[in-house]
Amino acid sequence: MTKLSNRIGLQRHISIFVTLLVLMLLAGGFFSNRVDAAGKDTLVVARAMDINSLDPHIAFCDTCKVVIGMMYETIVKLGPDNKTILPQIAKSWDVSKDGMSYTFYLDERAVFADGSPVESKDVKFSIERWQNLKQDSNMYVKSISKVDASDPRKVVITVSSWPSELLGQLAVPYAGIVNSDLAMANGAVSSADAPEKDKAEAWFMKNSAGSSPFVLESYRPDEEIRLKQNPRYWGKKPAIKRVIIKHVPQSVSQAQMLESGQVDVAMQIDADTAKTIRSRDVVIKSQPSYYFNYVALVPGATNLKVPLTPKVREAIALAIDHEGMLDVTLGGAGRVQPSVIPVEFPGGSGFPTPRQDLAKARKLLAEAGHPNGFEILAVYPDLTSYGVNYSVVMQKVQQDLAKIGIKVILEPVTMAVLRARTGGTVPMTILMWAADYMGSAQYVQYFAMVPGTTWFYLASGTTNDMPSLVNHREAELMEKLQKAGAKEAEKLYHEFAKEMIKDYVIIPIGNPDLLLTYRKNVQGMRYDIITEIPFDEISKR
Amino acid sequence: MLRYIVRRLIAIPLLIFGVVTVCFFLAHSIKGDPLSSLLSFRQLGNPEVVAATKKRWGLDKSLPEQWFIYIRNLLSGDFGTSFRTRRPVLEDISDRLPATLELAIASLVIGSLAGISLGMLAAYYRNRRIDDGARLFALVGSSMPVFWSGLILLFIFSVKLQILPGPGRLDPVTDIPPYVTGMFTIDALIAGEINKFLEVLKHMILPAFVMAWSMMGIISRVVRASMLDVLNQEYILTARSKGARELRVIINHALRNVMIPTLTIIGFSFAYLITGAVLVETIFSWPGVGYYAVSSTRALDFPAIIGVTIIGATAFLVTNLVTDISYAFANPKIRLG
Repeated sequence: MTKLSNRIGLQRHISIFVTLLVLMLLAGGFFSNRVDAAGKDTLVVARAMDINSLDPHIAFCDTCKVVIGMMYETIVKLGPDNKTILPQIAKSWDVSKDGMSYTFYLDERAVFADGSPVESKDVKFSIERWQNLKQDSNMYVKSISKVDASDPRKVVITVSSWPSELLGQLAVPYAGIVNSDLAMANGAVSSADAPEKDKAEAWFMKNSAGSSPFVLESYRPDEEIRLKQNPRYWGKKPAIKRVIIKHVPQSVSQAQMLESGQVDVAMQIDADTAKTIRSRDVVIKSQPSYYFNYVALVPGATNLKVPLTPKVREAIALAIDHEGMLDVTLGGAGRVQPSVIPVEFPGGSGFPTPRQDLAKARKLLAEAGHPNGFEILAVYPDLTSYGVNYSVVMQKVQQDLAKIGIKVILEPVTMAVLRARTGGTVPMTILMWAADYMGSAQYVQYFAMVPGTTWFYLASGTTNDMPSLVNHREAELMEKLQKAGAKEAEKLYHEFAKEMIKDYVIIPIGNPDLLLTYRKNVQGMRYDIITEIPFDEISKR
Repeated sequence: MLRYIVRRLIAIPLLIFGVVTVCFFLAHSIKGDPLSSLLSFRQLGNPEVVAATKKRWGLDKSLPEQWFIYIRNLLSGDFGTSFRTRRPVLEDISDRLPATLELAIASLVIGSLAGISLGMLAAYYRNRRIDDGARLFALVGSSMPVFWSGLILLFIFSVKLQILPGPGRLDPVTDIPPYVTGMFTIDALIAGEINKFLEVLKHMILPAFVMAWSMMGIISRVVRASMLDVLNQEYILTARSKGARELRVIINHALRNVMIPTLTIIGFSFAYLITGAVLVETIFSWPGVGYYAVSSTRALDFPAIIGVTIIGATAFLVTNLVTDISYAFANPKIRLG
């Protein structure tokens, strides 16, 4: 009897404690997340951030283009049509008749965030530092041979080659103009010994030195970056006074935060996740992107079971079911891209959509001496890029190639490991390309099968020496391109695109549609090929 | 006991030195050039850029030379610069470790209290509905992958019911409290910001519960088994026959004897919570050291990997020491020597 009453006493103690706790929390309004996440002045954005630096001349990543584009202005900028080059720090410019010299006239009103004027010495310092640090984005300044800043309001840039795309290249955020006095005071160096002497990156991780509408407020890696309005901005001030970009790695988490109103914009919601969003307060706009994923073949790999000859490569390309790939990986939310140069870029249009042709693929394999197929290793990054899960892509490739007898062995690795192995022991992989500016030279520099390009280096097994892989027509086109004007260049790029299709080293497998997902009180959202979303144009109701 | 503690404390730096050396050479012997985490595909084949990057990061020196420089810098508190975040590794870790510790401590408190309570209830009401319910609840928690339970709970409590906040340590627009310990709960209290303290608590409920739920199973199982054993002992019968209240019998007489095996499990669980929090940290955008460690490993960020290993090794060594010492406090019969 005593034991029973004691048991009842124990139960009562527990019940009273739990009830009191819940009542106390409810009374205090503790259980509510109905917080106005941000007022009209603050924009909160969810994004999986891959920032590798905030120094404009060192950084190179997708998020870097977004945030550096907000903190630093360039000499010129890309217009809303994603094609036209518009003035920014330079109010106008002249191009010499031979196309080798560009004179930029700087806007007298332009000032840095500390109030000091933007002068030609800042432009010279920035371009030379960008060149001499020799970091990832360095390829865009390779063509510049001289920067003359003898007049404080005028800059003359002389180029040695590929002049037709200089303006596009100068609109890339990595060409950001920094306050040279401030940067030098914090360890920045623009001379040839910059790789060793420049110690400013740590400072740039905590401060900004640009002339743009926003300045860096704080940055906490893997957590958030905060930018606030530059009170001294010399141009049209943005409606938003503060932008907070939260690091939210998962697409599902981004969607949940957007639906519950904790963020105003989510930048990387994939098509499948977008379909689960039910909130009427969320706007989802889909539009074609210029990104594309591609399967790459490496004839110079050292662990090939059979040589990846042109016929074998063509057979592999013909076995891929492009439409099916879009359905499987993106639920159809994308486009098939025929050549490595996207349709919107100079020379990229006018090619037929690639179709699966198993009969021809089998015939080519038989002609190459492999009627029963062979085995090939595919080493690929185990990630999801802009809604495309690479494991799913490679499984689809595996299924498609199995139809012509090719057995694909899948080996997922991290991106850093892939970078370390690509070329040597990676016969097949998948990667993504995002344009850095509007221009087709970047595709040629990266994908052409000519010694000196990135993919020739990789496809040759990192030897840069594989005569059978060289496309001599592309080498000829490169020569011609160096002397071509803009109109002629477009025709040459079209030729390039045609040749690069025939290389069958890079096989584009589709552009995922870009989803702009935001709360309905956000206005002015649009897609910019460089910075993804121009935040200075956004306002909130 | 003091001699034992001093001896163990002296051994810790020597063990850490060994860990650092092994880790340094191991990290540099695996497949994967550090350059591949510093440069993109575009420049890996550009000898000029490769040379400039090697020079910038000191990778042009021989491995023993790099090790010597690393040890020298380490002794002056410099853990190197992260390839990935481009910030001093120590700064990165001191930003993240408090976040992980705060979450781990909250999870440990919830998991221990709930695990012990469930185990006690299950033992006390053996083979009855409460026992079945408690065991089922604990079993579900420890069986369900945390990334799944995390997403489901976020969906229910944050998106649908809107009674708890979404991912992150604070609401997106809230400024972090002034840095003192890096643990936002404590820092907010020190700054006298009660609203911020409550906000931090709200943000911590779901991730802490998800982590705690995953460890409740093992704790409750250990407690239940030990409790069943203890409840059949004669001294429990003696206490009851003397008319002691049931709560007193359970807490004072039974629980104390159950604590020895339970403490061992809790000690190991804490080490697991610190190092194994990565999935919860990813789902809840919790910028902790687990997420940092995994991101750094994926990026072949050697300075960060070695930095985290040093901290992880230290945490394990200290936790083991604290667990051993706490045995002696929990049971005076145990003497350390």
